[in-house]
Amino acid sequence: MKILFVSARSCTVLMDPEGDYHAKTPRRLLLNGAALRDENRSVFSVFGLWPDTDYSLETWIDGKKESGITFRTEKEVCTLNVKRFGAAGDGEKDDTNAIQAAILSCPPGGRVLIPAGDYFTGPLFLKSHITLEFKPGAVLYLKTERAEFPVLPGMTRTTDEEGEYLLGSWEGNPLDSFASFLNGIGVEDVKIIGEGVLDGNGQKGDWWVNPKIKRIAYRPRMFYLRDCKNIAVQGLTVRNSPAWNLHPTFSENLTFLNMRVEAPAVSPNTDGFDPESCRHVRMYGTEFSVGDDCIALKAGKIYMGMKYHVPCEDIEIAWCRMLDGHGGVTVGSEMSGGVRNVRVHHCVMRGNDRGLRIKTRRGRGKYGVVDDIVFSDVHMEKVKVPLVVNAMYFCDPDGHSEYVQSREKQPADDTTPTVGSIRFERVRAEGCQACAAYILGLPERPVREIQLKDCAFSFDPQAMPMAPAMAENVEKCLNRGVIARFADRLALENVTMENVQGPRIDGEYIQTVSDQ
Amino acid sequence: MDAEAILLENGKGIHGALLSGCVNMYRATGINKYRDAALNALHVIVSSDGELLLKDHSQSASCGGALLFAFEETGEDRYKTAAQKLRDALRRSFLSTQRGLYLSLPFIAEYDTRFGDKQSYKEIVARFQRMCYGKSEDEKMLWFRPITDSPEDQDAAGLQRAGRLLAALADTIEKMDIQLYEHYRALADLFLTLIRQLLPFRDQCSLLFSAGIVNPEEQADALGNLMIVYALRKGVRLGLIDEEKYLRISVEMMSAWKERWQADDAEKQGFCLMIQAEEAEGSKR
Repeated sequence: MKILFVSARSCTVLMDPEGDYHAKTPRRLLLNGAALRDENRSVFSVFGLWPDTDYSLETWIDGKKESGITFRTEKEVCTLNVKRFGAAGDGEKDDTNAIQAAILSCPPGGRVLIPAGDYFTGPLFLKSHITLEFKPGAVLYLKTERAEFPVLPGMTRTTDEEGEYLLGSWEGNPLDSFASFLNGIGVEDVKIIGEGVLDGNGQKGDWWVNPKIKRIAYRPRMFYLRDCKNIAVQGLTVRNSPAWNLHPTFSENLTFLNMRVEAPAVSPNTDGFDPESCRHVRMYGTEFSVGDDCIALKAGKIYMGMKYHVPCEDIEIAWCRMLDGHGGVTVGSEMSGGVRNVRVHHCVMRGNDRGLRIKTRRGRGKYGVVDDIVFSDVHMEKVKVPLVVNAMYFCDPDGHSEYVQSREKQPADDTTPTVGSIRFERVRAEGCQACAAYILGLPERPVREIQLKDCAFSFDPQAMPMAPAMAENVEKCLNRGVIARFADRLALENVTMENVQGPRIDGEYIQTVSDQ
Repeated sequence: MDAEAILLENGKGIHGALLSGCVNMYRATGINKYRDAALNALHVIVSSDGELLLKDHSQSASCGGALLFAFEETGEDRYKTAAQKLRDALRRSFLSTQRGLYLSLPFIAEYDTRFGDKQSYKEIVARFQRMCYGKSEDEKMLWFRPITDSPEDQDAAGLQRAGRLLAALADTIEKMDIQLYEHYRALADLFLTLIRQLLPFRDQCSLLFSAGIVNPEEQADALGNLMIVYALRKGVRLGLIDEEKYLRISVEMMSAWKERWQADDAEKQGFCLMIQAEEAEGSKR
């Protein structure tokens, strides 16, 4: 057992590092010697603790103590209950001002408490050095009239006209965007905890109608963090986002624990978690079921990449469950600052279109380097294509152009991105459809290395043919092995493919291929 | 305002600025007489099968935006066909004069944004940058000197070349898809850079620019100053330049202009309309 996080009122514990979202074996939990509950998740949280207090936590299996740990909760200066600031929590009154007043008034080390109730609110802005706690039964509903949302301008020139101040962001560019449900601009040391719910009301209003068109500004998210550090989010459920759900940008030391992120399968662009140009990010024990990629690691488009080249790096995603959604873990397509040192382990993915999905294209730039991405101990069920690397992803207004889609060698220049090393270890994928892996590099900049080790793929006998990657001229296929074009090294070691049709490896323009 | 004011030589020519002014005024105010004047003029110069019946390239290029407006308003395919043919002709050979480029680039951007795959954005940015910087960093501020030997370019005052360039930049930026941000931003940065280079040459007594820009003793140029006012107003409205700093300058210039001159030809009338349209658009915010 290992303590992952402690606040004044809660903790998060890693119970079974060898489990995935669920522990291999359920345990009974005892808190200070008293039975707490039965727990079946590998990562779990305990709420309702008291500040500045010692606790002991034990796990028991079949009547025997398995392990124990002690910890002390953090101190707390005071608690500000939003109802004392005039929040009604009746689902009708606009509680924005009351909740915002509580946040702004909270002293360092204090807690803003949102008790059970339905709160109708607009965007809220965080402040440094506070805790925001949502009690069970607290549901915040976001307003739906876009005219009532503040706008975060994308780019503002400095007064001397020599520089720029960037605030709003949309799909990797500094563009005017509506303020999100919870916003952090330059804040640090904030904990957002609890078993409450944030409901973005995306299905109401017009957020999901003509979603790509800018109407006043681009769509808000559930969480938007800009230039923040030391932020922890624990336990919340976020659902029905107008657009992406959790969107931290240019931030570091971020921890997300035991959350639930939900959006209908047909909701547009409701990615679950999109860290963009962030470092030292941990996502543990969270369940995703959304209308787009569950997790998408991003680093801006070419303007941001070339000017700032801030990568998304040191990212760990573990003990999570990704249900449905387009991709389990995606890199890109906005990756112009680079994405590197990513570890995804002990996760389960079910029903996604793709398991690990690398999306890039010509024009993402020389700092757009995707490298050192490792999936290990991941279980995929009915994931149509477990691994896709697509360097000709047809995104953006010119995505279908000859420039992006040409299979002819183009000049490798400052606009050419790079895909380095991608590794799958101990990945088990059942019920695959199109193929085990589809790799499409650039002729002028092939994918450097794909390694699959100790992996097992089996295919769905009921599968229908489908195109494994979103690029032009990609033929539909069914129950194929590894299909690869334009890579330097493709290495399979101890990889089984059950029910595969055709050769295990179908490679063209691959420098080195090994299959042991 | 009517179509006859816009047409030249029984429909063989057109006052492009006046046509654009009418289109912009209708979009900004909804006043039908501007729409009717523009559409009636275009009805004369565009055949039923989409041929543009104008005698020279500059004239044709100056109609591009209005053709798209006519298609938008009437749904008649001949206007889209005419726009497509014009776009293809310009793609084959960008106009060889500086003035021709300034007339055609905004239309090419607009057409490609609406109907194309925006492939031309990169080339448009490169052309504007080449016009401003020449072959090396040392050749800055080329942009108000003629870069071709054509009489059209050689005869124009430097301020007019500067005004056309700035107006063309602002018009082009307006028509681009901001989501191709690297190209949009390249032109936005260029626009700001040029404005900042230009403003120190404004005469502090007259509040206007001289015809040659760098020599304040020279006479001021009516058309050139009008173009600069238009570019400033549009730049403010699009957020390319700071409203607090630059709106005041444009208002001062326009006020000084009115004291000195009148819009006594079609081109000046056209730019006056475009400035009025910008004022109307700005007041909506």
